[in-house]
Amino acid sequence: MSETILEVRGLHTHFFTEEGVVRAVDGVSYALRAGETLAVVGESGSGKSVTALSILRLVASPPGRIVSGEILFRGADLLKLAEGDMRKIRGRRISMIFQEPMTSLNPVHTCGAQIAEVVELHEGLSRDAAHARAIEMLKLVGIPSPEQRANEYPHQLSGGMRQRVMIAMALACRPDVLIADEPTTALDVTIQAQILELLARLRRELGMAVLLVTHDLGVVAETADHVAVMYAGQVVEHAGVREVFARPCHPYTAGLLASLPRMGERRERLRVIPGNVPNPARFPSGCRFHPRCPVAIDRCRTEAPEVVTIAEGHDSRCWRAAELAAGTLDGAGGTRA
Amino acid sequence: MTDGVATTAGLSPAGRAWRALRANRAGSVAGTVLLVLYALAALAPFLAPYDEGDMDRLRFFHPSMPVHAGGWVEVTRPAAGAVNAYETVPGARAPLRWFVKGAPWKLLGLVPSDRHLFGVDAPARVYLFGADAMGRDVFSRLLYGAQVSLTVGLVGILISFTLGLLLGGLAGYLGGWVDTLVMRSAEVFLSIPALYLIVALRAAFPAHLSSRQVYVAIVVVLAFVGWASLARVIRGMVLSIRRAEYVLAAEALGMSRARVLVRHILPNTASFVIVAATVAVPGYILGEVFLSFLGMGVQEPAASWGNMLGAARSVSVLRDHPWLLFAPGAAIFVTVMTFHVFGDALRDALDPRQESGGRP
Repeated sequence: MSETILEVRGLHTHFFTEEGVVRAVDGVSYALRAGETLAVVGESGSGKSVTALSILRLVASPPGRIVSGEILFRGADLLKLAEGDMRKIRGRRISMIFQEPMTSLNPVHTCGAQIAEVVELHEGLSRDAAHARAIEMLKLVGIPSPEQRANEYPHQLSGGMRQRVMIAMALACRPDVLIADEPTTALDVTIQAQILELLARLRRELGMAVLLVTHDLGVVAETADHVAVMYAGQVVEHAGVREVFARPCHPYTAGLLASLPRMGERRERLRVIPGNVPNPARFPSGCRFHPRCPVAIDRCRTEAPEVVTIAEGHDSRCWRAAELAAGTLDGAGGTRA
Repeated sequence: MTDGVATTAGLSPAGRAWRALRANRAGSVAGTVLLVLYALAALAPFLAPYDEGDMDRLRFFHPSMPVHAGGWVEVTRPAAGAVNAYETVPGARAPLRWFVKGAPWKLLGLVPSDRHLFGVDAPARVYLFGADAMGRDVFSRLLYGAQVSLTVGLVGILISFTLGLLLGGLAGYLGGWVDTLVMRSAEVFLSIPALYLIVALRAAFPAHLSSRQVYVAIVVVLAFVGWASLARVIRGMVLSIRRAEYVLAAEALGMSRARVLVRHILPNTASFVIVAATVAVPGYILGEVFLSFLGMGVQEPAASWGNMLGAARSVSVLRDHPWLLFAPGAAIFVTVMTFHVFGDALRDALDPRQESGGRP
C-alpha cells in the first residue's frame, strides 16, 4: 500500500452567519494515498466542497473559518503555514479544478496566457518557455492544434475544451495532488466520459493523487480507489470502492446506491431517499441522518454514533453498522433480493 | 463558442469591439473628429499664424475677416473718430503666404521651428476669427487653448481613474475595514457639492502660479473630485466579479491577492471603464472652463477655452464682439458633443449583448 500523501484530521470549518454558526464541516477525517483516487461523495450541502476548499485554505473569510483540525500534506500541517508559503503549495503541489468550465477561465486572457502565467509564477520560466509549456500542456490534455488554441480566448472553446484547459492549468506545474470539485457535473455525458478518462490517464502518467469531489456514484464506480461518503458535514462511511458498492455499511450509502437506476431493472419511478439534507445551523439530535433513515432505532435519535471499523479500511458512523455489514439488515429499507 | 459567427471568430475581445466600432457610422465620425481635434492641438504652434500672447495695440476687438477667393484678406486701419471700429484700406490686399517665417516654436516642446502654415506680411494682420480685447488673434488662441482644454480631460482621467480603480478594487476585493475606510471617504467626497469642492480645493493652491503649475493644479483638483463615484461603481463590479470561479481558480493556483486583483479582476471591468472614461472627459473640459471662467484657472496671457469664454462674459462684449463668445463656445460644444457620441458608440461596441457585432 502506498504512502499517505494528504490527510485531513478532525477538520471543523464553520461559517459565522447572522442566523448562527453553520457547521459546514464538522469533524471530517480522510486520507489520500499517493497515486490513488479518493472520491468524496455526498448531496449538495453535505460539506464536501467546503472540505476541499479548506485543504487549500480558500474558504471565504469572513464568514467562513477553519476552527480546528489538521491538514497534513506530506506530514506537514498546511493550517500552520504562513500565507506566503501556502501560496507556494497552491497550484504547484496541490491544484484544484472546478465545476463550471464556463466561468472558471478568465474571459479576458487567452488560454495559453492563463496556463503560462501559472508556470511563470511558480517556476520562474521566461515568457517564451512558459508559452512553450502551455502548448505542451494543451497537447497533454488532448486539445487538437494546441499552437492555435493557445492564442484563443475561452469564449471560442466548447465546455469540454475549457475543462481540458482548466486541467492543463492545474497540472502545468506537475502537482502531487489534484482536487477535482465536480469536474464533470456541468458537462454532457459523452464529454464527461472523456474528461474522466483524461483524468485517469493523467493520474497514471504523472503519478499524482486525485481527490474527486462528486455526487455522481457512476463517476465514483469508474474512477475511484477509495470512497468517503459525506452527510451533514461528517464522513459517514469510508471504504474501498468495491466494498462500498458490494457491502454499504451506512443506511445513507445504501440509500444512495438504491437510488441509482439499474440496467435491466423495470421500475416505474426511481427510488429516492425521503427528506432533505438538514439545515447545518440546526442539526437533528443524535445521528444526523436519523430523520431520513429507514432503519433508525431509538438510540439513533438521542445518541450520536461513533465511527466503527467494520474491516481493515472500512469505517462507518452508524449504530447498526454491524448488522448492515453482516447482511441481516437492508440499509435502504427494502427487502433484499 | 467554436461555431461562433465566422466574421468575429478568432478575434480578441478588443478586436471585436474595434470592428463593431468601425461599423457604427456616428462612432467612426466622432472618432475621426476627435483625432483631428487632437492633431490640431498638437500642431497648434504651426497652424496658428501668431503666438497666443501676440498683441496688437492698434486692433483691439478687430472683427473676423473673410478670406477672398485667390487667397487674400483686406487690409484694415482704425476708423477715424470711432473706438474699436475699423475700415478697409481701399484697393489694398494682403495675400496669404504659405509656410512663412514667424515666431519660433517647438513641436511638442522638442522640435524647434519658426515656420507657420500661413500668414500675411506685416504690418497687415490676418484675423480669421477676429481679435480679442488685446488685439490677439482668436484663431491662434483657440488652437493654443485646445492644448490645455483637450489634455486636461485625459490627464485628469488618468489620475482619477487610477485612484478609482485601485481604491474601488481594493475595497471590493478585500472587504472589511479597507472597504469601510475607502467607501466612507468616497461618500464624504460625494456629499460635498462638486463645484464648491473644486473652488475650495483650488483655494488650497497658491493664488499666483505659473500657467503650467495652474494646469497641474486644475487637473489634480478635478481628479480629486472625480475618483469617488468611479470607486463606488468599481467596488460594486469587483464584488460580483470576485465571486466568479476564475477568481477562485486563480487563488487556487497560488496567485497573490495583488496579482488576482490587477490581472484577473480589474481587466474584467475594462469595457465599463473605457466607456466611463470617454464619457467623463467632457466633465473635465467643462471643469476647466468653470474654473477659468471664475478666474481661478489658466491665467492670461496663456490661452484656454475656459479663459477665452470667461473674457466674453460682459453684455457689451456679447452685443458688440460676439465672436469672442462663439469661437470658444463652438469649440467646447463640438468637443463635448463628440466625446459623448464617441462614448455612446464605444458602449455599443463593447456591449457583450452585441457579441455578433456588425449591424447596429
